[in-house]
Amino acid sequence: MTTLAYLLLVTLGGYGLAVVEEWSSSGRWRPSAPLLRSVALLARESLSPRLLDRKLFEAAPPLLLVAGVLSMAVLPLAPGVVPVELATGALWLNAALVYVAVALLMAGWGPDAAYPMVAGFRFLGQFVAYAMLVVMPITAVAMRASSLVVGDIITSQATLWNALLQPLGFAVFLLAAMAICYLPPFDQPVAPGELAGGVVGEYTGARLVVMRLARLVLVLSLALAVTVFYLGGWLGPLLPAPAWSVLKTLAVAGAMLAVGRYLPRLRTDWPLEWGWKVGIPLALLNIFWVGVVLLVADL
Amino acid sequence: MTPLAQYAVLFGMAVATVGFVAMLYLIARSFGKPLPEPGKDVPFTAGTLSRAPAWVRYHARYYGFALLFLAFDMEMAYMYPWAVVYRQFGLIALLDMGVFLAILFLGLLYGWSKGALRRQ
Amino acid sequence: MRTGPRLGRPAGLRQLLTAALSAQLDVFVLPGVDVASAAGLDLEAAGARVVATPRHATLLLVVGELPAGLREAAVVVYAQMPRPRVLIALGAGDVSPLPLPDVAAAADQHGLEHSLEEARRHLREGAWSLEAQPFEADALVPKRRRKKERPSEKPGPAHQPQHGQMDHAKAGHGGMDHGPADHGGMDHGRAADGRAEPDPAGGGREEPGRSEHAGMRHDAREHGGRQKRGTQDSAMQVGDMQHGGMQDGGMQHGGASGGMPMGFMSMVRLTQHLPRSSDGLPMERVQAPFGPFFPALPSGLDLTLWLDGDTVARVVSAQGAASRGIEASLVGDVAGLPDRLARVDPLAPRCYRRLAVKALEAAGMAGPEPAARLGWLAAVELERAASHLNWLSRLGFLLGYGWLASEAGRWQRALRGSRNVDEVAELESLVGAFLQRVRRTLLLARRLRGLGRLPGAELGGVSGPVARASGLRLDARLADQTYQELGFEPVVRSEADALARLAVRLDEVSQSLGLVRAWAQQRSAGDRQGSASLVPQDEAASSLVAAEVESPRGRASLELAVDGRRVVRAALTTPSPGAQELIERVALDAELADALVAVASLDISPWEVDG
Repeated sequence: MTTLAYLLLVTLGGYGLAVVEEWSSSGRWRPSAPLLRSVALLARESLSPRLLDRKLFEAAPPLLLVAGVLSMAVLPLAPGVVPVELATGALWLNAALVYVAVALLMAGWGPDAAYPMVAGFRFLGQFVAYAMLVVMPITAVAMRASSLVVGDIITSQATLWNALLQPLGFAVFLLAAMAICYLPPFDQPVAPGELAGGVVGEYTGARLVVMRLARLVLVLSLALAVTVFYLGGWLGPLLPAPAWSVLKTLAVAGAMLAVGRYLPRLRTDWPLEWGWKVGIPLALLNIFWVGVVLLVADL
Repeated sequence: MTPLAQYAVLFGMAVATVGFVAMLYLIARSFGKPLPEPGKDVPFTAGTLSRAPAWVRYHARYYGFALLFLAFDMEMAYMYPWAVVYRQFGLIALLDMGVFLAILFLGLLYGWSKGALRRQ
Repeated sequence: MRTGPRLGRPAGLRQLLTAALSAQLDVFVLPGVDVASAAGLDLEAAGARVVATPRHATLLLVVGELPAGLREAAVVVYAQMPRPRVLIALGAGDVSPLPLPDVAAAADQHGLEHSLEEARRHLREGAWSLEAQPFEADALVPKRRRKKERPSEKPGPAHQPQHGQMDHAKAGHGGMDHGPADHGGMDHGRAADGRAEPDPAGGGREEPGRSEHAGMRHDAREHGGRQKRGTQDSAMQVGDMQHGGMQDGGMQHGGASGGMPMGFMSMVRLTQHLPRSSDGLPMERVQAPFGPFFPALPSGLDLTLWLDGDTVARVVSAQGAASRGIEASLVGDVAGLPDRLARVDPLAPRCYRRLAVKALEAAGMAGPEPAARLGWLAAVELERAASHLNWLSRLGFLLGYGWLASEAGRWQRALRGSRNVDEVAELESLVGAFLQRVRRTLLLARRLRGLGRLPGAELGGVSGPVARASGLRLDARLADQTYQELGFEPVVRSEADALARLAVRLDEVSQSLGLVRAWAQQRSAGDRQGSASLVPQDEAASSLVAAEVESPRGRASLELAVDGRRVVRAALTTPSPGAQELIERVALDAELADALVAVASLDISPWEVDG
């Protein structure tokens, strides 16, 4: 029952997010557009490039979707409403998200084409940039909760949200989350301007539906992760717990989607340079800060 | 649930997702195969029919960052259990991990000064 | 011949689904969105979404007449679209060898909306058909290179056919599981050939080695791809061994093996002939075309980049891909000269029309006056502002800066369609606010700073905003009395990079709108309307005249030999050929995105390059 409720909420939230994404790219509200576009895509031909690494080309879309789904599987919407309450939930999230990089690299290599190739390897560079910046803030959050169980992390924020206690970690994790789901301005792998579609450029028909759906699931999952780790998850007065989760998640996801329209795409070396020269020291400082606070104040 | 059962559920979710994808592919396939035409399967290269191969040794320029990433990744493997028992051990935990992190941070600074943290 | 629909019976669920197809139309625009915007088309408002690759597109929209040199590329783009697909021609006339357009209309907003409605109807009713046939054209068949075109570094031509035969043997044997085996094998041969062109820059030696090497690797990977991934290494080693064997057989090395032990399969020996990258590593290059229909670059620009990773290692840009023989067609009746000259550049037609009128005025006669209410200066300056905003919109698309792409397009259309000076005055403050917001964008300045640096001394004959951004005070408007009376002073910057070119163009937009306002005030104050419409005189005062005008991209000049009421000879120089020669300088050794931004900052119009 709870898994069904979870699935329903996630599907509704995901569809709402698709409508928001449609608005951010075209500027108008079309509630039926995502469904119609997906259906239309299924009706189109699914082409395969001439010379391709069949296994990599075919495996990339399902792998991307599986990575997104599995990463969401440990994130609760309400106490007990979660597919699996893993003892190492926070670690599992990171482990599942690694496969995003693998899938995009496979998608880039598969078609034996120049644009996807460059795009795939660029995403690998982005991965090297954001990978540590995902793990370190999660560590700091787990320190406060003394546990990797995601439910415990949420309940540990009952007194004060982590976004206020660990603002550095919040900022770093939010940016890293945008980089993982390759939202603009981090959209190197699917750059429509620079690389004519990038890794998704050679996918058509059903495979393109899966790639786009996978990206949507990733955005949703990461927005939920930000909510759960930093914004108190289901905690909040008056409204029932799932409502708070959904509201916060959609707000975070909307913010993540909206930012990209107003910024130019980052140069390839900027995430790497800034991530390692600024991001890592800040994340380490964040861990140190949380350590000191926990010793002194026991929040 | 025992951990084994939990991982079984996760595995089941992965399989269900792959099944969902397969179902979508079957739906698309039920509408017919793509019509084979000349030039249709050549990757898009802005209007030129380029059959030049792209499967070459790609010159990634970020290998300096990647090497440092390896070092920090090993560190993070130790930080997960440390974070869970941090409160229990208090100041000692902070000092222990502080030394570890400081050494790695010095490594980062060293790499930075030697030019590893830039586009090669 | 039905090349748009899918092959099948239109029945049941299929009809339902194709109704969904017509809900959101994904469009790929030929020759490019810049040409469509310059024609005043607003694709988003008409309900279409522009996509970056024909693989994601349902409609192919051809705006304006396609030059002969771009027809093959258009055929390739059409062939790469998945079915069902619809071909729309707006003001394009005959588009062969593309198939007959499914919808044809005029190149204006009304025609666009009508044609999109028609396209929706096509998709609803005709997305499946039992008469669907494959689309075939000559441009889609691979050209077989003859063996003698391969460079003769290898010992004797006999070696080459053996190599080719090895391909065939491998291809025939074991049965490739994708595509016809012969096709695959011959493509390997062609692929190896494709990179074995004579290299003008470096020595000829490196090319055959690289192509052989890469060709071999390609075969090895093909071979390995059929097995499990894990045995990839062994397959590659097989390829290397064969390559090593061939090297033993033929390739002369400089003998500089240093003090290293050159064992069997020594990596140092195997990679000795390869060119080194900037960090000393020998890596292979990918040949990637970026033209003529790359969505973020000027449409019609022929550009091929050899990529070493994501750094540009070599640049080849051929001129004249979009040529239509305009210069030759200028000969003819004097009265039609402005119209013929306006065809040169679809991105700046009014400017060339003004150039023709100016040349005729210098010859003592007058051509028809464009936009009589606005006057010629307002028309030219508004077009300059619109052209810069169009360029800005494409730059926004290239940079992934969605707000800039859509807002700049909006102001460009507003300026292009403004009919009187009051409208322009209203727009001036709004556009000024928009430009100010662009200048203050976070990260934009940092993104563009230092890209494509072109010091003024190296510019050669280039004019326009590119020259003015490098500190050169070159502007054809300085020689024009009307501008001098308005106190015109060109915008000059000295940093000579892409950011400076952006700043120059932004300032010029404001400047142009200010000039329009000042000229309107001057005209209403004085009585200069009379001089606008000259009575055509019967005899030409002089027979050889020249005129120049400052187009949005630089100085354009026209030399005419007029005899009576006929133009007997005409010579046109435009700013874009010079700018296109700068491409190699700005793009070489830059990271790919930086190279593309630097090329875009030159604002080349391949339409002006009349080869």
